[in-house]
Amino acid sequence: MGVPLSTQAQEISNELLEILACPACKGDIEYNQENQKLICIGQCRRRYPIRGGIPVMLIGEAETPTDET
Amino acid sequence: MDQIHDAVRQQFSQHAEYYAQSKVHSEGETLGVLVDFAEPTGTEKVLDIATGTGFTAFAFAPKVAHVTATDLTPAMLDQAEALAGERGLQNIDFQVASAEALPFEDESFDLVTCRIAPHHFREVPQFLSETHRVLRPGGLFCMVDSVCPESEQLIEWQNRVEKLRDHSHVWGYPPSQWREMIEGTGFTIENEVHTHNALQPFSWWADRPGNSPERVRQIRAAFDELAPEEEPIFAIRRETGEFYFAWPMYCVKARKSTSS
Repeated sequence: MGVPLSTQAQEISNELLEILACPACKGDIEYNQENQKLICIGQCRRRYPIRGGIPVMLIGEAETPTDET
Repeated sequence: MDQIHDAVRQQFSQHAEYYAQSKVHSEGETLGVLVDFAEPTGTEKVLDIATGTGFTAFAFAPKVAHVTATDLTPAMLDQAEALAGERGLQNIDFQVASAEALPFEDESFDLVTCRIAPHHFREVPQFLSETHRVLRPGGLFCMVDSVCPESEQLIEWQNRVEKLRDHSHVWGYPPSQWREMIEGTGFTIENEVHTHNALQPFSWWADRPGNSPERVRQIRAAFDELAPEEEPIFAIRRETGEFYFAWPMYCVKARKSTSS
């Protein structure tokens, strides 16, 4: 019924965002709600998926900047 | 993903329901030992590493401010999340993460727990170093794992048996090596408890999906290699047509220095 995807998706709490770090470079993490990604804003810029509301913070499953189209 | 991580995820994806129903994992007395070690006051931020289907996280959640629970295997976390919902626990969140590359800022937690899991970790020193990093100064690390006796021959035997039964098993250490690695990371050990997990019927333990009857026979034959005087180390109790045993368990309470 036209509910935007961003409001259907589970929220990532500010508390969690405060302590989340990139598992690869330990850089800070920013939440992209629209794309349901957790993005490293440190050195490596990896992008971690959120599946079923659960962040997948695995280096091997992240997109790297070179994957970008 | 490397081979060990793949093996662990494959193993635990197939067996998430088994772990959700396992009495060793849900009711083991080592859960109580961990809570006693930690003496939670209600204000703690806790990280439970390799939470599996969540039993350690569930034991702590009502006693602390918040629990962050991680595991390598999404299927285990799906079970954990469902069980947390059934129990009405709302102060737990879940992340898929590797114990050797934790996705958290330095000094984020008051307490890190890890129960009956490190024998699946590929790099235990790296896991300990990551645990130390994410703890606040003065924070506690409380861990339980199945361990081997202090005997080179039995260390080899137990790891061979465990790998025969479960190819995601990496290595079980004796307590002396745990002590060395934990202190080598910069922790001070404050308490240790040596116990056994609950007695398990051999056939229930060995005969899990994916293990052929031939594989189960090989594991049973390995148990027959034990000398009679070695059997009490594994609490072996024989009954007609079945035997029961338990692995030795090492519970340790270690503190990060307040001055780091």
